[in-house]
Amino acid sequence: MSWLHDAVVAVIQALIWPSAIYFVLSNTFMLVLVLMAGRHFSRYLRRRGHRGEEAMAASPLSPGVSVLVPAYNEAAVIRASVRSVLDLRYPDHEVIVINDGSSDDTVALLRDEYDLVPDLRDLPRRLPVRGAIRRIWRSQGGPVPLIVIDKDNSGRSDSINAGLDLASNDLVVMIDADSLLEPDALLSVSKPFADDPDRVVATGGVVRIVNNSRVIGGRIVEIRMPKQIITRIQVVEYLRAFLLGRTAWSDLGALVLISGAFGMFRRDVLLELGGLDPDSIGEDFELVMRIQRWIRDGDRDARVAYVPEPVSWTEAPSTLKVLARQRRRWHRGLWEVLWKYRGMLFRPKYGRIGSVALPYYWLFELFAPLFELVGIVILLLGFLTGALDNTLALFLILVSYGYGTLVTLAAVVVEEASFHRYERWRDLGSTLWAIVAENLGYRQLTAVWRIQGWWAALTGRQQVWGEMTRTGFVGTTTDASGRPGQAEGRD
Amino acid sequence: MTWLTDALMQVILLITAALMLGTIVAVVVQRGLRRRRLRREAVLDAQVRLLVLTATVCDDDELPELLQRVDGLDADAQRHVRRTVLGMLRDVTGEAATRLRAVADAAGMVPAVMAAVEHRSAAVRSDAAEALGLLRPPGALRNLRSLAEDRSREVRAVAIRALGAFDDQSATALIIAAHRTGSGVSNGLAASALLQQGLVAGDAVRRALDDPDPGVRHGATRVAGILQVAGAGDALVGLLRDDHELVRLAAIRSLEQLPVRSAVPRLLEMALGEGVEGEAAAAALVALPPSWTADAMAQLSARAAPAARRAAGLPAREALA
Repeated sequence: MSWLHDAVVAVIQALIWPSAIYFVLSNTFMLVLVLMAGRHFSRYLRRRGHRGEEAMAASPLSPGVSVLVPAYNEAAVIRASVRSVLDLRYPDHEVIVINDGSSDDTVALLRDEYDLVPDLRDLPRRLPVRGAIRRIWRSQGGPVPLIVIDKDNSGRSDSINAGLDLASNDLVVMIDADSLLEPDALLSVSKPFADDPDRVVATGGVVRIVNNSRVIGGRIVEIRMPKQIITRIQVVEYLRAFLLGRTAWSDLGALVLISGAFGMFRRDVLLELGGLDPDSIGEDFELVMRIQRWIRDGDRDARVAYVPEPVSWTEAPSTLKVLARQRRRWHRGLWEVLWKYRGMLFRPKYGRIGSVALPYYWLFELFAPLFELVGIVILLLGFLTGALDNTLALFLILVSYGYGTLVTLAAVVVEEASFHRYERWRDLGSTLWAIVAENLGYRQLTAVWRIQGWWAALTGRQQVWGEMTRTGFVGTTTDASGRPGQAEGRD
Repeated sequence: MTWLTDALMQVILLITAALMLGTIVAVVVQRGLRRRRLRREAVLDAQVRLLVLTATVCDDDELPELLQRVDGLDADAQRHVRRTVLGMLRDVTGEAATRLRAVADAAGMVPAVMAAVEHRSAAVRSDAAEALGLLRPPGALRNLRSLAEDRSREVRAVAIRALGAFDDQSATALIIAAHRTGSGVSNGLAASALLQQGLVAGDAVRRALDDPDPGVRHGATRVAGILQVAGAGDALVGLLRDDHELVRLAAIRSLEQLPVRSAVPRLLEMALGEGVEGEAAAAALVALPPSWTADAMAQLSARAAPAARRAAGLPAREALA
């Protein structure tokens, strides 16, 4: 079977250098993003003393914000969640909860807690909403208006559209019912709108992982690294890709993704664009892509910004099963959005979005799991067939895993020099261990799940996302934060 | 690959390992230094915070002795006093703020801030502008006027915000000027500074309603209602027909707070239109005295778009599902 051996050797030798070059480019690109973010943080923090958020908090001229909170079977957390949003420090905001056909008593709890009365006012119907609206409730008093829309189940995006239709303020922010917000979250994320009101059309805030942190009264009182290794690794991932990566993309004027767990938008722009796409799996990514295309198609002097200040905390999957579902979903969404907007690729009209961001997402996000798995296969086959000498194998491992680890360490240096949210020495140890452990199975597993999600999209298979169960927060008080055993509504 | 020799590979490996070790050491050292600094600040805090707080509430005859104690602190402690005072000044007013300013003066803050006005770093000049607005030492207004025309947009913005703390016509003129289109200062920030000035800015705001620059008209229109500027009502009604949508919107919202009967026909016309203006005008009509708007509300009920009807609090025409 020497011909088979020769064929395998030929394939390996044809693939080995492209793979190595791919990993070098991928890691170098990420390193550049990390360094850019580091420079941004340094400037951002230097200006903390005179940014004027206090003045904004006190000014009646600050732009009004409507906070949209879609909720599906959130009875365990809804009262505390809504309370924490009502209590946010901001001079002018309203809260709109959209009950997406929950089978539990989410609405009844809100009605009792906030003494809601039927809201009989007319409905604007500026946006098409699929889920029929059963009833609308509103609070009777209080400094922050609360509206609750009770509608048939039709998904998160459609629920947000229902809320958007009723929003009355100039800015809207979408959050998840199970997220914890920093008290100044609205101030931080609306600041770019106040500073540059003519140009900023959307902002995103940093979402961090709350697992194992102590939560009292709906507020985080002690930030700690999660206990499970897969969640610790996600902390590192969020840090590298979300906090640092998106900050750098924002600096480049090519931010294409704002997390659905915390994004703020100009209401008039969302209405003009028709709201969220209820058919999209990656609805947050799709929306920002649509905004970026709208900006450039209309030759508008507008931009999408990212705020590096931590504003929202969310519980990350702590089991492989849940994580697998999340990654399949994310990758499927990534593929669908990239494919939908393939016409923007390499078109000069779309500037850095078309020439840098989208090629990056195609090459180093969408194809990443494919290259990852091909690399592993090459290594294994190379060893088995003897086509790969030790030096070359070591080189491939070094440019993929070694260089990748170095980039992640650089990200940790930047975090340590800027926001350093995990203060305990043992958390630093956990972080360093997570950086190593990420390469020992986690990356490979997530690559497999991502390929599965992509394959499901390509073959048009219906994806069943299923129910997920949260583990709850540590140190919660049942009356205030009230989150033990809560359901995980969105992965 | 002939060039990828074992020796070269060893060098690459060594460099990678050294870089990894270097970054880990860097993180550990960073954290160690920061924790040491925090411990030091905690010690300083224990030393000076009570002193600063006492100075804000003590009897007048006790103050000189307390200020003398501040003056006698070492350089580190005085720096900490300055930080503490600046942080507290954002939250207090009146006599307590005056006392805090005296403490800051005793800690040598004023000369440091005055020197920073000329610093080559825009961030340092911005900090100086912020501090001048909070401390208001003699000469602060002159320096802020200069910083309001700084080459850096960031410094100009902070200086304009700081000028809001001064009851002075020259400060008002600079704030009004900062509203001009292309000034680099956001309209909301400049308008908030006008609001902070309060009634002192009233005359200037009324004149600015007729300014040829839409940015100035926009800012003045936003604050005219909140400040209840005397004689601004008719001008606001006229601005309901301004060429610029932002000015029209601001006029609608201002008229909610400064009701004028002659605004009703135009507000009704706008409320019967589409979009944000229609909603804002409908909401404004609701805020006016009902005796002025009975006819207008009847027309709204019959003819307005659902969004405007909702803004006006009118019930749905059709039942929900």
